[in-house]
Order: sequence, then C-alpha cells, then structure tokens
Amino acid sequence: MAVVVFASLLGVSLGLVLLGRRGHAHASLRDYFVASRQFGSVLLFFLSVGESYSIGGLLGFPGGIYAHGVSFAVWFVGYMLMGMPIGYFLNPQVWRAARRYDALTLPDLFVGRFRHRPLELVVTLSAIVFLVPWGAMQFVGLGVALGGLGIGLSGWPLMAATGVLAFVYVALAGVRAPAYVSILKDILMIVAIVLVAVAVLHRVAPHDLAPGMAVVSGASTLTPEQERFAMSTIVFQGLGLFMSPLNMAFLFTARSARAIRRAQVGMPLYLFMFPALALVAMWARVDGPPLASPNDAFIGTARMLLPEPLIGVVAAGAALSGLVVLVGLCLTIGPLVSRNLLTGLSEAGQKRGAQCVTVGYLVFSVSAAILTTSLITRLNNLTYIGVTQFLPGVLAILFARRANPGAIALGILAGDALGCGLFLTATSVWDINVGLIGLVLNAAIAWGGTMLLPGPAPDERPATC
Amino acid sequence: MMSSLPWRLLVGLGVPFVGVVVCLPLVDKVPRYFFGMPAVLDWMFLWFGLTSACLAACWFLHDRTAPDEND
Repeated sequence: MAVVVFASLLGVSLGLVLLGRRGHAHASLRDYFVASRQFGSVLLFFLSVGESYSIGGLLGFPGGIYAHGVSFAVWFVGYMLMGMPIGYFLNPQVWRAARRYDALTLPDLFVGRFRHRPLELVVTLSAIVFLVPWGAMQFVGLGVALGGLGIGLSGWPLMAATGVLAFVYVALAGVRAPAYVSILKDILMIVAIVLVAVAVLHRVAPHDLAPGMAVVSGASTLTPEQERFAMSTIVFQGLGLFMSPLNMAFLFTARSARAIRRAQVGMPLYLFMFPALALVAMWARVDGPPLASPNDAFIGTARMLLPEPLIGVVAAGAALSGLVVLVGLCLTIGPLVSRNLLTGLSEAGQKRGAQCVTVGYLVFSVSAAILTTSLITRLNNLTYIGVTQFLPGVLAILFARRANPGAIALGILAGDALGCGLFLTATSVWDINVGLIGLVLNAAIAWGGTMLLPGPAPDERPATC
Repeated sequence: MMSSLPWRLLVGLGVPFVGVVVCLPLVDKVPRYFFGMPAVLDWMFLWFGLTSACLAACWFLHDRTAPDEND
C-alpha cells in the first residue's frame, strides 16, 4: 500500500512537470534556465525555501539533535533565520544586476560587470567543485530515507530510477520543473512532519521529554565553545544562504525585485515545522526505537508510528525533496559548463550541452553515492565554506565602482583554501567557524587589492573577455 | 529627504541580528525547559515569527509602495 501511495504521488509530480511545460515545449535558453524571469512571489517562495524542507533537513536536523542535542539545533535554524533578512535586502539588488547583465548563472554576473576571463573561470570552477558533492548527497539521503521507511526500494536500482526521473524533469520543463514540483514537495513534507509529530504527541507530552533529554544529551545550555561556534556559524552561513549558485539561479527567475521582497517576508515564518522536527528527534532519543544511525531519527519514528499508507506519503515527500534539489543542481551545473566554462557555443548548443552535462552529472552522483559515501559526506560539509566565498565579489558587483577583478579572484581562492584547509585538518581557531575565517581573508584580499590597484569602472571595462 | 534605508536596515536586519545572534549567549544562560525544549531553542523558534514581523514592517511601511520597486 505504501508503494502504491508513493508511486501515485510521484505520478502527480510528473503531471505537474507536464503542466509546467505547457506553452514552453520549445523553450529558449532564457526560458529553460530562468523561466524568462517570469516567476511571481509564490513560485519564487517555494523555490527559495526549498532548502528548509529538504532531505538534509528531514534527516540531518533531527539526526543532529539526536546525536548532539541542543547545540546542533541552535545554529541549524539560526543560519536559515539570519539568512532571510539578509536576502530581503541583498537579493533584489542581485536580481537587478542579473537583469542588467542578462545573467543566467552566477558567473554571468561577474562577466557582465568585469569582463575578466580568469575571474569567470575561478567563479565557475569553484561553483562546480562545491556543488558536485551535493548531488551525490541527495542520492545518499534518498537511500537512507526510502530504505528506512521499508517500502521495498533501496540501493542502486532506486538511485538509478531517481536519476532517470531527474533527467526527465530537466529535459521536459527546465527550471519550471523544480518550481512546480516544489509546491507538492513542501505540502507532502509538512503533512509528513505534522503526522509524525501528532503521533508522538499521542504518546507523550512535550514537557515529559525534558528530564530524559537532559540525561541523554547533557546540559540544556551551550558551553562557551559551542556558543562561539553557533554564533559564528549563524553569521557565516546566514551570509552564504543565498550565495549558492543554485539559489542564485532560482533568484534569477523572479519577475521583479518587488516579487523577491514579497516572497522573503514570509520565509522565516515558513520554518514553523522545525519545532515539530525537534520534538520528534527528542522523543526518538528518549523513548524511541533503537536506531542504526542518528539520521534515522525521523524516518525510524515515522515507520514505527504511522500506518502504511501514510508511510507512502512520507516517502514521496522525501523522494521529491531529493528530486527538486537534484533537478535544480542539474540546471545550475549544466550551464556553468556549457556557457561559462566552454565559451562560444550557440544558445541551442548551450542548452544541448547543459543536458549532456546533466546526464554525466547524474551518473557521477549515483556512482559516488554508492561507491564513496563517506568521502562524499565529508566533501559535502565544504559546500557552505566554498559558496559563501562568492559574497565579497557579489558585494563588489553591487556596490564597488572600481573593484579589482584579479583581487576578487585571488580572494575567492584564498578563502576557499583557508576555510577548506582548516576544516579538512580539523584545526580549530577558538571554535570560530572556519569558513568565516576564510571569508575574512577573502574580503581583506579583495578590498586590499582594490585599494592598491583599483579596477576599471563599469563604463571603462573591456568590450569582451 | 532622508533616506529610509537606515531604519529599514535597523528594523529588518538589525533587530533580528540582535535577537538571534547577540542575545544567544544571554538566553543560553537560562537552564530551563519550556514546552519540553531548552529555553535557547524556544527563543530561536520565537524568532521565526518575530523576524517575519520585522520584514513585514519594512515591506508594509515602505517597500510595498516605494517607487523604485516597480520593476
């Protein structure tokens, strides 16, 4: 029964993709990648908050509370909460720059402003490197979620089927696919979380969990080290929330700056399901079934407490969460290669090239998820360290008249190297988030280089790269 | 005419920053549970609504009718 419900809901999602394709079967490059900048506040809202109710949120947030207690939850919700008001002020400016420069990708913004090929290559290659593990992590998460729900789908056949479905969505409707499907995905995720939380509340009152939680995870307060890490991570990842090339690509689909602002207002309130996820995690830790892994906190609880048809709903929500992110990543990485890495292709060539890259990316992601799970998981931790390093350059595009493109490129490389190096060597600098340390170095180089050697003003830049 | 940007930044970004980041070590000193969760976590959840309220203030009091929003 769960499989029937699961398959039916995936069928509905395919129907939504076909609906989104209506009138856009032979989409131009701009329509395929940024929906010709036609999306209003509603579609933009669901595209942008996708990370809130992703497979990472469904598994990672309760899993983190299960394993680490309060300290994990504080910075996890804190950075999303902090990123949204930053986005309210910054994203409309970024959108205006994207429109001015006809940008379809994040590197296009840098090209439009600076016409500097080395900078374009640094941004493009950095974006690709830090986004690649993210796709494999979706397959890993899907395997955990659907395997844990026990609906009979697991392993490489599941991943291969998911990859094929992701390609079908991309090929059929471009960016309209994740936009339309994300609405269904969020509805299913919210329903799933509510169902599991209600099932937990039938068994225990929230205040009864407190003593047990205090025993299993220690103090209800953070240590000074945890406070420093939480505060610095909230600031750092809050700054980086909308710097991801994936979120940038979604931002470029907006119809207007007004649509962006209107969408941003409700985003913090949309995190309202996280208290329910925290409750489920606490029950799983104190009273729940034995788990093979902390990441099974939500899924294991769902399997234990829900009837079979509703397990299908949870499974569909999890599957669509992974699919929406996968499709978004394909639509982001594809043009990074076909438009920014390879230059000179026609618009039709860029679109076909991006679809070819999509196939390769999906095959690679499935392979990596199966063969190198622990490595991919570790590399995925670098994503935010890497993508947030685009912030000084983006700020320079928006506000600095004479920024030095070479200094910006050097800053990005230095920030990446320092942040990733500190993380991979497990080096702690007073418990400050290492990405923030890299960002400070990055900004210092970009600013210092610009002070020493100011770059060309926008009206003085070369005509071509 | 004075720019509205300073007060919008103060309300829309400054207030949430103080609430979420600056107050974190203060609220964290409360070793109590409310509604089954540690006080510091309840405080973060409270700011879901308060942050939206701050942004809504910026939107309804200025940005919704600001002339440069008509893109």
